[in-house]
Amino acid sequence: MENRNRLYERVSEIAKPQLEQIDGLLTKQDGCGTKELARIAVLEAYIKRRSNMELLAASGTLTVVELVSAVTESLDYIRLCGVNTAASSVGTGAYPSEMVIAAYEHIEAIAEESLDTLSDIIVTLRSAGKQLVVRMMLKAENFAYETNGHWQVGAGFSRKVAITKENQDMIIVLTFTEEGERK
Amino acid sequence: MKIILDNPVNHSALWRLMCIFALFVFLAAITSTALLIRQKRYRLLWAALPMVFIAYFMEQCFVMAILGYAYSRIAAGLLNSIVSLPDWLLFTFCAAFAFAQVLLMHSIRLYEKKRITTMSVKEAMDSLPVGVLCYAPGIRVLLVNHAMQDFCRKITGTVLEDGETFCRSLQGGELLPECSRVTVGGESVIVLPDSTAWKISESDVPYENHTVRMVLASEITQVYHKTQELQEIQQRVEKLGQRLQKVNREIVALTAEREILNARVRIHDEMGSNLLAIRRFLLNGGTEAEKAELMDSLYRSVAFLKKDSSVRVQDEYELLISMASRLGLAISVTGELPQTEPHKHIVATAIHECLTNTIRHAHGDELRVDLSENKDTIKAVFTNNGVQPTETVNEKGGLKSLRELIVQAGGSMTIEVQPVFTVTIKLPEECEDGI
Repeated sequence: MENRNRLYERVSEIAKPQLEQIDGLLTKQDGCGTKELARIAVLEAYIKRRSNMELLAASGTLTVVELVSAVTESLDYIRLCGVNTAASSVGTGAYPSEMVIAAYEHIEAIAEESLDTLSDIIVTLRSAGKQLVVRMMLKAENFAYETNGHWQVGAGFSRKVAITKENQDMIIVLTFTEEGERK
Repeated sequence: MKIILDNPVNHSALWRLMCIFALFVFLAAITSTALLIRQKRYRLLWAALPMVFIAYFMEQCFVMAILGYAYSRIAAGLLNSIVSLPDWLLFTFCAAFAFAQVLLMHSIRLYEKKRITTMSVKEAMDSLPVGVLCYAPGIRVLLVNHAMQDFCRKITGTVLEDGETFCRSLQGGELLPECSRVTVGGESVIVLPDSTAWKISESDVPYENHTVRMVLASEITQVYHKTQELQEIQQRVEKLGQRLQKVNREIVALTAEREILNARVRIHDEMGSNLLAIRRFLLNGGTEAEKAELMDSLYRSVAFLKKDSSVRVQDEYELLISMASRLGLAISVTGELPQTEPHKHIVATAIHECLTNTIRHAHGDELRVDLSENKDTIKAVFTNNGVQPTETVNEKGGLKSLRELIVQAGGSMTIEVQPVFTVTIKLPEECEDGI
């Protein structure tokens, strides 16, 4: 029971901002409409996948397949918000769990922040050697990506962000590099 | 030179009798003295020795009086004085003297009867079941009883003659091959070929201003065997304790693993059902009542993760039926749904997973659950009326978690694609609970 409680507490802590958002959307004064429900679906998909990653992270590594599944599911529900989505991946393998989780958190944060004006999003994941590259192409109005990091920052990997913007199109390339020798 | 007495005895028969009497008393006094010396009762010698001298003197007096002469004037004068005494007085004196001698002999006899002699000590020792050996270093054995002799023969094959050599054998010397030396409770124990166990104890005892070494060999066969049994039991208990500790560790690890798995399944289930319901509502639309139900479910999920204690605990089957109804899906059950744990939880989880797959992948609206029970197995077969897959189904997410859950409970799961997509689970009647 202690283990289970600890896990639930951990998941609650991780998903606290999303849970608060869902709570806020459900208790919105002018009612919870379809837009809010769609947004709730995006948040719930994230909670589901993120908690799953947390529980799988006990082994120390997470696979690219798990990340691809999580991103695909998140995009699946983002589509309910009227956004055109697409995801693709190249390569397989396993990376430190903190690095994979950080990648997913970045993707989710960018999607959530831009969701109000987001019309298209394409996510490409590429894993090669020590590098895991997340390439996101977004089409959103008045969206400025802030690289402030309240996202997970862990030891064992480094992060590099490259942003290219032209009109409403923005390309964000997140490069995560595993430090030390590959296991 | 013979000196004739003035008054020779004229009633010689009485004097002869008293002479013989005095002779016997004299002999008795000598015997008494010897016995007293043997008994080491030196204090009584003051009574016995005067009796010897007096009896001898009387006997001499009587003999010379009967003969009627003496060999010196002094003796003659003394004899004349005695002879002149009345006969009754002399006779009374002899009788009193003899009586005193009888009393002394009686005392000696009584003492003999009451006193423990060396022989009686030896006899008593021989009748003891405990082996006893007393020896003084450098001197031959002082005392050894039959039990110790027997014990010595059994362990060394020789007669006990030298106490020191025997003790060295006991303490670490060579024993006969069939004998073994063990230590029980810090004491030396020798086990003989007949399985009897003997405890050896040595001590110094004072004896006549010397110190004598006393060795005791006590038979402790029953105690020894009981101790051995106890030790075996202790060893078994120790091993059992170690096994229990190992099992405990495994249980803790297994429980932790199961709790993690349950948490995964629970979060997956909660979130998965909400997502499906939202998708269905957003894509197909729904009534206000359906929306309210959906909102209620979302509230519950958020409250569950936010540790809201007011979360209502519902029966798992009820929850599933409610959820299926919300999603416009029918669950057809044939047979009896298990109501005992962990079977109930596993079947409910399987229904949930198959429900999700029916909506998401097969796009069906009916999930069929066929339950049957054999002698010791519960079997559940899940099929749906949706589009059947054409390729092999890769297990991941929900199905993977479901398989782990079933395997942990000692059951099995098979997935068939042709002719229809079928998930079959088999659970033993006696499941390992801990889910």
